[in-house]
Amino acid sequence: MLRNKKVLVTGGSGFIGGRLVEKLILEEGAEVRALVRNFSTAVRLARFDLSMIRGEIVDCATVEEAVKDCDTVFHCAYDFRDAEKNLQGARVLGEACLRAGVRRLVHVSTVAVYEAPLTGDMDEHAPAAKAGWEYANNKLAVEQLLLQLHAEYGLPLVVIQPTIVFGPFGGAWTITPVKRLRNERLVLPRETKGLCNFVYIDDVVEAMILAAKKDQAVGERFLISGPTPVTWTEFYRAYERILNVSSIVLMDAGELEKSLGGRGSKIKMLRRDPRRLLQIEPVHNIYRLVRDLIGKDIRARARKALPSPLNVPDSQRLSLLRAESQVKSDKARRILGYEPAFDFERGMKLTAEYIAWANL
Amino acid sequence: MLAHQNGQTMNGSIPRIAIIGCGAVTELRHLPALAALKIKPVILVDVNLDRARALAESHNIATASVDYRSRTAEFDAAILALPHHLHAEFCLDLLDRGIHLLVEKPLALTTLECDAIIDQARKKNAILAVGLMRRFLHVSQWVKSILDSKLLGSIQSFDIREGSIYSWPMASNAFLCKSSAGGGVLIDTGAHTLDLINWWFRDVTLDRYYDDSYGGVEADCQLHLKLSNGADGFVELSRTRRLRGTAIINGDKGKIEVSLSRNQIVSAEPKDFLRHELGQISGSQMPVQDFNDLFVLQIQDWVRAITARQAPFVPGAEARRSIALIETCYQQRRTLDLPWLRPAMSNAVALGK
Repeated sequence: MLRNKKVLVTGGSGFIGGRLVEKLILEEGAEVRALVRNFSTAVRLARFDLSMIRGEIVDCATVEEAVKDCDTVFHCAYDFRDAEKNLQGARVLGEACLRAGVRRLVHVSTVAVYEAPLTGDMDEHAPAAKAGWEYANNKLAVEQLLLQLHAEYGLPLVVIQPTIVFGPFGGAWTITPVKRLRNERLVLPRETKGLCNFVYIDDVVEAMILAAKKDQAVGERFLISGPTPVTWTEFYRAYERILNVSSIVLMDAGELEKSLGGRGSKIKMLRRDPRRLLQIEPVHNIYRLVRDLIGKDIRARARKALPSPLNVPDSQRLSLLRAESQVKSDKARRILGYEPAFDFERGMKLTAEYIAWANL
Repeated sequence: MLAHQNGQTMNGSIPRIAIIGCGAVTELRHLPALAALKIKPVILVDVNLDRARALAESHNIATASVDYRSRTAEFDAAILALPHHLHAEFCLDLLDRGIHLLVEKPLALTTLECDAIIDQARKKNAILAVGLMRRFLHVSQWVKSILDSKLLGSIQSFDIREGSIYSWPMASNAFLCKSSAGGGVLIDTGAHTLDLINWWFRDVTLDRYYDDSYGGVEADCQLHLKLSNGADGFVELSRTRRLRGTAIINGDKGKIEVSLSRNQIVSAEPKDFLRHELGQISGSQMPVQDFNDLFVLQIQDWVRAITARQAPFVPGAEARRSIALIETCYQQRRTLDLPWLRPAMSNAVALGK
């Protein structure tokens, strides 16, 4: 259905967009066009014979040119530093799609737009995320803006809401955990059975392609998760095994919660991990001065002699780590025909090959 | 001739220099290097006149132009820093006008083009140097000297890995298009790496080549090479990963590991190798050289070659050797199997060696 069709991908140099481009070309035979903000980040895209248009998502003329003659548009671009730009960009793109008569716009959102229950099942009926977390609020606002364009003007929109996406080239749930486990001691709550609703990258991309094909999907939002969740401890232990390190520190959840509150508990955390002092700006500035004065070798020796710093979850991450709710993708199964093909083991096996190859 | 040291004065008059192509390498490397040598180019040329004017203004250069053809009387020599696919055409035209050239690597996209350029330079008696500035690194020259003096004995194997997450600033996507760049990491970074390999070992042939291009330009590649004594060589280049950036060379009398881009000997066995001296530089005390230092040495060598009518340190014929190897790689390319790319189809052939 997408074979030889012109398809625009925004955010194609990112994790999800990059994998989407690979599958669109290699498996779907689509004619891909990518809107690229910075050519320096487009070396993976450039492996393919595709057209690249340089420009910002908020630039009306560039976006107009990019969507011209496109059958389908996949919107994966997101700028973590500029919430306003994400909103404005979605408006520019949505309106350009309407003017160009694009058949389908698939927008990548996130599970974070919902307020996850602590236990039980969770689906698209869950309440919206409360105000407070900028990423979730911004993603929700973008979703709402596009859904409004659908309701008022008939924008042929489908919203995909992936859960914890991991896999090759993944930032937040692959490269970041790997770096943390290599360089820090990662603190997890000991006694909770918090669930990681993982999804392997290829399943997300498959759901996006299905969303582009199924007419019944228009105007809908779909949560996309993997087959069966694992506990957060299992999730991070899998990376520990890949890296052959032992970096997870289990702590009493109550104690962790307290550490996020009063001054006494903060002192306690500081005594456990004095490096946290460096998070205080004036202390950090003095540290940098001293660091620059002493040699590299001495610094390397000192690093080896000291225990790795503790990475303690903040309140937001702690809630995520403690939530025992299970995300259901039944609606995606029913309407899109989505069926996750990658269980945790299979996804991690491929991710392990990537980690070794990428020297992470 | 091996070492070209800083601080030597140049004989004769300094040629009047034009820079053709005002992209990032001109701004970040050539102009600062010329400034360090107190040489002011007479003209900057770029198809984007605004860009040429802006650079000319910021470096107090009198003339900026979109074309050099009507102004060749104003300069004797040119630094050519254009998209790769334009090298041959511009080199041939400039050499025909008797202009001496320092051409950014790669000299051209094919050996046929290289041959035409080298032939034209010879006919017109013009100096043709190629921007393979890593040969000016003390450590590269030290390795060359170690190998030439047979200190490592018979070479058993070598293993070279070079990669970083790509961040070179690009004003256009010329570097990312097969038609204008000629290829990806192999013809870009690989032009340097393979030049060193050819220079160090002399007799390298290709066994197998793999890359990850699917109609575009490769971001990752692997070369399996052979030396004439049957020794295996492995080269891995990447624009998506940090690789160790060193060459490990094993001989039957010892082993060395050196950085490819800075003066660092990572290890030497036996340690006596560190006492090996090259001019005033020994393995244990190698002065720091940054990229700007190398561009300064490269331009200094080229200008000296013009004024003294000598061959430059890296002439066209030397650059042709790495182009020949790159050309063979692309002709014999096989797809690099990345298991996560086609999980259903992958036979999971081991990555790397």
